[in-house]
Amino acid sequence: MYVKVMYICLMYSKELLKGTLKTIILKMLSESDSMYGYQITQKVKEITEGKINLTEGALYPALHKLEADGLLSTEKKTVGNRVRKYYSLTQTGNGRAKEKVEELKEFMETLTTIINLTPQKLAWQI
Amino acid sequence: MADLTEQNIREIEVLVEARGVEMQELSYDLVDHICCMIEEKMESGKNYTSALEESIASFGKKGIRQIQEETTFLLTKNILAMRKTMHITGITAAILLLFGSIFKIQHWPGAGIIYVLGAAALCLLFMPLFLAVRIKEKPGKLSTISNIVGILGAITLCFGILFKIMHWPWASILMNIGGALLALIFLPLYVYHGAKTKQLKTSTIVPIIVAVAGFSLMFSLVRLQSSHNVSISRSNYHNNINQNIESTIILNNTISAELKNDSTINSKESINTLALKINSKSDELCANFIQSKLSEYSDEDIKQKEQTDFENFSITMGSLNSIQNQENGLPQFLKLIEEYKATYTTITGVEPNLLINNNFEYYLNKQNKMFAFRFVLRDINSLNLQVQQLHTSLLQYYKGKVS
Repeated sequence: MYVKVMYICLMYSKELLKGTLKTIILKMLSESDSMYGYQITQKVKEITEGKINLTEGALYPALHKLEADGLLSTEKKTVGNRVRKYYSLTQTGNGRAKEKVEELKEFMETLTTIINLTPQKLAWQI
Repeated sequence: MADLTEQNIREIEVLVEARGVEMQELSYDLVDHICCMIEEKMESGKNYTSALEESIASFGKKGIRQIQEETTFLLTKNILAMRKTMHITGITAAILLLFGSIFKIQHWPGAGIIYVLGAAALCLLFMPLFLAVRIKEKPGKLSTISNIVGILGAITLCFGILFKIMHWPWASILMNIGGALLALIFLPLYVYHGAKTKQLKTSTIVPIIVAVAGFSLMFSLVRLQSSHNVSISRSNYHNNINQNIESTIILNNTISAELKNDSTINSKESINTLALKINSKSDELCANFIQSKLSEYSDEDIKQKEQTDFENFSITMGSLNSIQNQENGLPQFLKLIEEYKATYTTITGVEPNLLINNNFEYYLNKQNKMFAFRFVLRDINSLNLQVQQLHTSLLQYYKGKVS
């Protein structure tokens, strides 16, 4: 029970993550040559100290969509008796990753200004 | 790192597949992901079995299936409009074909147009769209080839059936090509592809069984013209009419010879000459009609065909043009019969009742080009037989009267 509560508390709501998922994936991949799915989830978990937990249900559909859009390419290698797919950014993907990250940064700044509005300011504006 | 054995991996693959993951590429991802989860758990001291159970359970009851659904949704989101068009054209085509067949069965006007529109919507809009959607949904060289062949085969077959219904040329060739593409290339590719991607289970096998069984049933239904007994009785009927005509003519000749001094019967313009004229006209029309199709055969060959292979002979399509000539064709034949009826009425005072089939209207219409031997020969011969038998009764009536 305790574990379950912790798990939910540590995670941001799905809605918040939804719009930024692609950006997170692109950013992660732009930091290294190639990564496989599980590695991405672990890396994100590690960087965010467990606050963001990419689920398989969100990650893999997004990866396949990005691949279909030509932003990612895959390479199959046999590791530990099984096929492992390594994802890496294509040239288009590289450019898109930068755009997306910039966009998110700006969005976050805008959000900050909204969030930092004090009640007085709001009243004055009305 | 604790390596998983090949057997372990195979087990996980089966588990992922059993939970409904059909996309090979996604399956690689998920199997690897689950393996990583298990390995991590095993490193912290768990045994393989419980690590596997925990990992699978962490996806939730339908979680693995949902990953595939979500992936398919994301990948096909941009072809939603195309799918919608495909559905609309498909439904329209199906409705048109349904109404076309009802109209056709009821012989209502417009059946042909509805049918052609329906088939065109099906073959030229629905099927290409379906192909495009399939290719986008399931990329891959092999499945693309099998999809293209399958759709091409289906289009050809559909057009073949349409041509057959509309009595247009090339129908059989189109149907055979379409059927061959489907049965000899598409089906093996489909089975091979299914076996290769390990999808050979109910969802693949059932369509194959339905397709093969349905196709065989339909094929035999279309190909079997009629049962053996029906074809024999048809052949007997044909021969009977001819023999009846022959014997009636002999009888008529015998009686009229006995009345040879009677001018009403035997003069040049008499009713007897008219009856004989009708008979020879009937023979001439039948011969012309047969010649219009089988001109390269000698009379002997045609006789042979008629006797031994009546079923095939009877479905041969002759050209109606060959008997439509105003001067010496069917119109002339019918005119002679009218003349005979009139003369008969003058002699006996009774108007004879001859059954002239509705089919003659069709044969006389110049818009109609082809018709099967079976019907044309039957209608001409049986009309001739009626006249000759009528003539027998007249001769006997007259003979009784004279003596």
